This record gives sequence, C-alpha cells and structure tokens, in this order.
Amino acid sequence: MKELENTSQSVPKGKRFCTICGEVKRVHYFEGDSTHCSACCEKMLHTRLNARYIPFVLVLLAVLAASVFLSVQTVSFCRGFLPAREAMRDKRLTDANELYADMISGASERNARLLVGGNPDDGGSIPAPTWTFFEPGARTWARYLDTYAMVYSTYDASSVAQSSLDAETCARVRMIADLYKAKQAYEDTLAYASEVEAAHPFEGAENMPFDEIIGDLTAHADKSGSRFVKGYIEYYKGMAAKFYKADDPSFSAAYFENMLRYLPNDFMTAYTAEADAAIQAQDYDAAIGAYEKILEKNRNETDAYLSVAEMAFLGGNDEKRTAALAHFDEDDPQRLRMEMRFALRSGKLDEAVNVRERAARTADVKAEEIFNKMLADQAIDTDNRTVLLNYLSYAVENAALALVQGDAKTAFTIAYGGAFNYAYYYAYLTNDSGAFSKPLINIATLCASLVKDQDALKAIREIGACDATTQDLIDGKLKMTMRELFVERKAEII
Amino acid sequence: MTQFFWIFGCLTVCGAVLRAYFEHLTLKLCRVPVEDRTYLQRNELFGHVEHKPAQSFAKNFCICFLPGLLVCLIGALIALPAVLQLFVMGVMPRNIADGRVSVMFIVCAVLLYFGVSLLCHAFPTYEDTLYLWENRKQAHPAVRILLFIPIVCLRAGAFLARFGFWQIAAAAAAVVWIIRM
Repeated sequence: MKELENTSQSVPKGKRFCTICGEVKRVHYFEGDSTHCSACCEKMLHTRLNARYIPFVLVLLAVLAASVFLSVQTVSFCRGFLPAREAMRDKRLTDANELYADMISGASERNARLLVGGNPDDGGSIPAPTWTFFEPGARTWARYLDTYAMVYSTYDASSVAQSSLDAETCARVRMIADLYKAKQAYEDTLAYASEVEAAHPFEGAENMPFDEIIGDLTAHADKSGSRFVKGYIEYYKGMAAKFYKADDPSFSAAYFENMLRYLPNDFMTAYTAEADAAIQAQDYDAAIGAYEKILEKNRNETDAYLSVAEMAFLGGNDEKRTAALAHFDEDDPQRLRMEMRFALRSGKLDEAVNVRERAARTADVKAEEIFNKMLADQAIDTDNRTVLLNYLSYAVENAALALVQGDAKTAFTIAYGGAFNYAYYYAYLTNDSGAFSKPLINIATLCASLVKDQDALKAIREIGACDATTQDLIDGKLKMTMRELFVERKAEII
Repeated sequence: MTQFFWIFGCLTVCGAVLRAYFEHLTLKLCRVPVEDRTYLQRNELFGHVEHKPAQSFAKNFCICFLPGLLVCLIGALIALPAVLQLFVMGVMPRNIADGRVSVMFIVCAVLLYFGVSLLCHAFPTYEDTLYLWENRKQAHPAVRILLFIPIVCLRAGAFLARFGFWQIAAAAAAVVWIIRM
C-alpha cells in the first residue's frame, strides 16, 4: 500500500497526518506512534487474500494430492523392493526372486482393494497410474531374477523390463536388454551345433574329429558379433571337450570359463557343466569346486549345497558334507533325503533308520499336514508346495530303505500309499505333473510289483512308465538283490 | 542484494506465492494489519506480505514461524516420493533396458522441483526476525530460553535468504547430483 507524504499542509498540535488516507486527524484516532489512523488500520485488518494467485495455489494443491498418493504407493513399493534389493546385493538371488514375487502379488492385491474394492478379475478395474509405472518393471524384475538365478534354459524374450529402478542392480542383470537377441542366439547356436555334429559323424571319443568340430564352431562364433553366440559356442565346445577327454575335466572347464567371459550371468550353466565333467572323471574335488563357484554367485542355490554334499560324500570328505548339509534345517526333507541316501550307500542301515525316526517326528507329520490342508483348501501355496515336493524325494529314499530291510509292504505304503498319493492329488489340483519324478515312478512300480498290487500298478502306469532298468528288475531279466540295488548301487533307479 | 533475492525468488515462484498466502492468513489470524497484498514485489518482499509490525511477541513469533512451518510441511510432502524414488530406489533418467526416457524420473524431478521451491521459502523476512528479536524481551524468561534457538535459526535463515542462498544451495546440489548421475 502506498503511503502518502504530507507535503502540502502543516499538522496542528494534537493532530496527526494519516499516511494511508491522507487526512489529518486527532491523535486519539491513532494507536501509539502509528502513522495510520484507526479506521485505516481496521481496513487493513480485513485485506482480502490476493485472488490473482489462486491458480498457483490450486496447482500446488493438486501437486500435493498427487504426491501424497504417489508417496503411499512408493512407500508400499519400497517395503517390498528394498529387502529384495538387499538380497540381490547379498547374492541371495533366490530369496530376492521370492521377495519380488511376494511384492508384486501383495501390491496387486492392495491395488485391487484400493481401486476396485474387490477382485479386479470382476472386470472394469481402473489401473492406478503409479502402478502402470511400477508393476511392469517389478513383474519383469521377478521374472528375470528367476531367469538369472535358476531358469537359464528358457529365455522369455517377449518381456523387457519397463523401468530401471536401481543402477547397481541393473548392472547385474544387464542381459535383460539383450534377451531378444539372447533367445534367438540360443536357438540359432543350438541348430548350428547340431549341424556341425551331423557334418562330422563319429563313433567313440577316440574317433572324434575334435579339432575340426572346434574349428567349425569357432568359425561360426568369429562370424557373429553377438556375445551370446560366442558364449553359447564356447559352451558347445566345452561339451565336445567333455566328450573327447572324459577323464580330464580341466580340459572342458577352460571352455566353460571362457563362456562366462561372454555370458557372465550364465554361471549356473557353465559351472554345472564343469561339475558334470568332473563327476564324469570321478574328480569329486573339482566337482565341489565348480558347485562352490555357483554358491559364490548365489548363496541361495540349495541344489548346489546338495550337490556339494553328494560330491563330498562320494569323495569321502565328511567335513564338507556336514558343512553343506548344515545349511538346511534338521527336519528339512532335502537334508533328510541326503542323510538317508548317504547312510544307505554306506551300508549303515542303523543310521538310515535313525534318519527315518527323526523324519517320522517332523517331515512325515509336516507333509501329512500340508497334504490335508491342500485337500481342504483345494489349493497349495508356494512354500508348502516346495516342502511337499522335497518330501516326495525323501520318501523315495525311505522306501528304498524299507526294501533293503526286506519289508516290501512298508516300502509300498511309503512309496505308493504316501508319496505317490500326495503327488497324484497335488498334480490333480495344480495341473503340475512335475511331482511325478522318474525315481518316484520307478520305486512305486517296483514296490507295487513286489506286493503284487495290480490296481496300483495300473494307476502308476497311467501316470508314467518306469525306466528300462526297473522294468528289467520286475521282469526278472536283471537279477539283483535290494542291497545290490540301493546300497551298492549296481544299477540306478532312484 | 535485492535483485539477487528477486531473481532467485523467480526461480522458485510457486514457493513464494504459497509462502505469501500462508503469511497473509497468519496475519489475518493474528489481527495484524496488512499494508499491501502484492505478493510478488520486486524487492525483498518477494514472497512476503507487507504488514505493520505486530506489537506482541507471540504474534511476531507466529508470523515468523507458522507460515514457514506450513510451507516446509507441504514442501516435504511433495518432495517425499521424489526423494524416495530418486535417491533410495535409484530411478534413473533412462531405462537401462531400452534406453528410453523414464517417465517416472521426469515426474520425480518435477515433484522435487516443487518441493524444493517451497522449502526455499521457509524463512520470514529479515525485518520480521529483527522485530521478533527485539520483542523477545517481552516474553517470559522460560519461553525466551525455549525459543532462543528457533529464533536464532529463523534470523540466520532469513539473513541468508536475502542473498538467495537457499536457492543457490538447491541449484548447486542439483548440479552435483546431475554430474554424479
């Protein structure tokens, strides 16, 4: 407000000039030493807010509302994302994958409740703008972490991460951007390797034209600029080398290590192949080394721990065996299975029986609970699914123990009445026939034939046929005692 | 100095407007006469409201403190999702996967700009803090002790704000972040 100056009139004593209205008034109209009269002060008290800037304020309020909404989404996203990222940094890739999957499914449910107030499958759900940004990225993260951690044989090239959330984590899974090329390269290289094999027919490693095969593969890799092609070619070279020099695992290991130069994220493929080569040469220490390299990259890789335990057992390294199994809880079916397997192979039936008794108090009870819950709910969650499937593997060894003890009836109850029954209902409810492993089919068939239960045999054959060795045992073409089969392992059916 | 304040204030005009609005509301609440309701004057009163000095310490404190508190709260709320996404989650300008510009990054940058703009106008005018400093003698000794640090902070912040310090600091932080990104 512009204040006026008294330039024209002199102010008599007892009066004062008001700088707002420009009037000369008596002093009692002024408060204290104020240069504004009371009337003007009163007017100034009621000065209205400046309407010119209301659009600014409205825009800010709209931004505030948007940011509050975005904050809620961000915080709930962070609650799932940050632990998953920490797991990634800690090289617990399987944990990270599960955390991401939980985050996505939890977020979808919250999204549904927030926007639809019910099941989004009812139709007409309005996608939240923030989840449009987050969800595709989060879904593809979970999918590719799964690929990175475990599923390396199939590449879902149709999905590409929609948003990059973290520079450090992105660097680890940079292959996401190349997955289109990866899948194509994988298929092309597989086709080429088959052509090379067909072009150089041979019988036996001693007649193998190794240098020519390697030369052809190398030429193909050199022509291609794709690191995927070069990497997969190294893999096939390694496989050729493994066949050519089966007794020297280090020969093929060099190619698998080379593969990692081009495909650093494919460590599972490379080190598993390295381990297979070492097992083939019965160099169990080298096999353990290969599995330990996997564990350096992913501490969550439970199969690697089991493999280390098995290799340590075969190599007579009790310390490593115990250390590997210590990663599992005592009542974990995977651990129970391995302990029983080792006890059987060592011929230590008492130890195997101890394992069975331990399992009877823990894993058997848990499996039955999960089975009953599965039947009641007509569904099974991820954690229980894993426990149940692992239990089936344990049950196979348990049935083998019963057969070694000469108790075919108990073996049949364990293999068919228990494990096969669980697998049957599991497959029925989930449409997942993966529960019917070959060892399970084999031992169930063997037990059913020993107790002469034709109905059981028919039921098992409807699911799948046993392998040739088991069939020969049943038909009497292969004569072997149970001890020779399951302790001395003269044949492998489980 | 006044020019600096005005120029940097223009960069954060949304904060200035909101600050002035809250200040005007506080003045009405405290029944302090408002002399001029032009919020964006080309002088030190950019983002403030010209008013008569309040006579009591309590009113002066409210005028200095409340608008800034509200502006800070709103600014923090606006900046929160941006800070979480940019600095905690690590959203980047481009998707690593396909190299396209990340929309979420742009959204966060805009929110951060708004939030920081508001936060840069957290402090009152230096003149108001001087009135507050002089009026503090009216307050009870316990209140004076309790509010000594906030008053000193307000005074220091207002002093620096005259030179556009907060805007310069925000801009420098933004430059450092962009370089490190």
